[in-house]
Amino acid sequence: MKNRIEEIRRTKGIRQEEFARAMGVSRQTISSLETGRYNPSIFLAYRIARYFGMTIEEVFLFEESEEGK
Amino acid sequence: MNNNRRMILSVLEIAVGAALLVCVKLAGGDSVWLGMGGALIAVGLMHLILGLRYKTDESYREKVEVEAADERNAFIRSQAWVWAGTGFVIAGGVLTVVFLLLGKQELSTFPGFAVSMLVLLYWLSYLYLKKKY
Repeated sequence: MKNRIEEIRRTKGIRQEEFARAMGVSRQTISSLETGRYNPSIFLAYRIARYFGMTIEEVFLFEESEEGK
Repeated sequence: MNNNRRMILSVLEIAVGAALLVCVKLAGGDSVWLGMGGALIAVGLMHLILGLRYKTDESYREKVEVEAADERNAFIRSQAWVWAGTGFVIAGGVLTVVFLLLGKQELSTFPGFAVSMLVLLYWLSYLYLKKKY
């Protein structure tokens, strides 16, 4: 699933390590999330969106064609 | 498992390994059992050192706790078990057939039985999880 995590993080001037610590995950997980190699659970997605002060839909870009992949 | 319990287990591993070494040596020595005793001591020592590091080094403790709780790591661990189980079933099935084709029926029962048990465990787990979720 595509997302805007890296774009939003860089705009707010937050480093990956700092973001990972705030989310309670490893830096490698943040890297995998940003490159789209790993999709977060609904709980992590919600925490990420709340950290940025946004909704899940503003951070994660769900496309109909991805359903069932 | 909490760290104190893990360290107690490490000491037990070392003790059992040492006892095994002593008993095997006194009884006349067999290299397989000596190897097992040595391996237990080595593994116990390694666990003990890591446990002490966990207790004393805050940054290491934080790293271990984050890695353990990280959802991506949990996903990778369970996916690795899925691949290992699938690989085991395929390899076991192939081995069973190969042994049968070679006329070694007795040998074929070992991988065949192992695969059957794993498939049975899978179906029991599936039925239980289907009810649970």
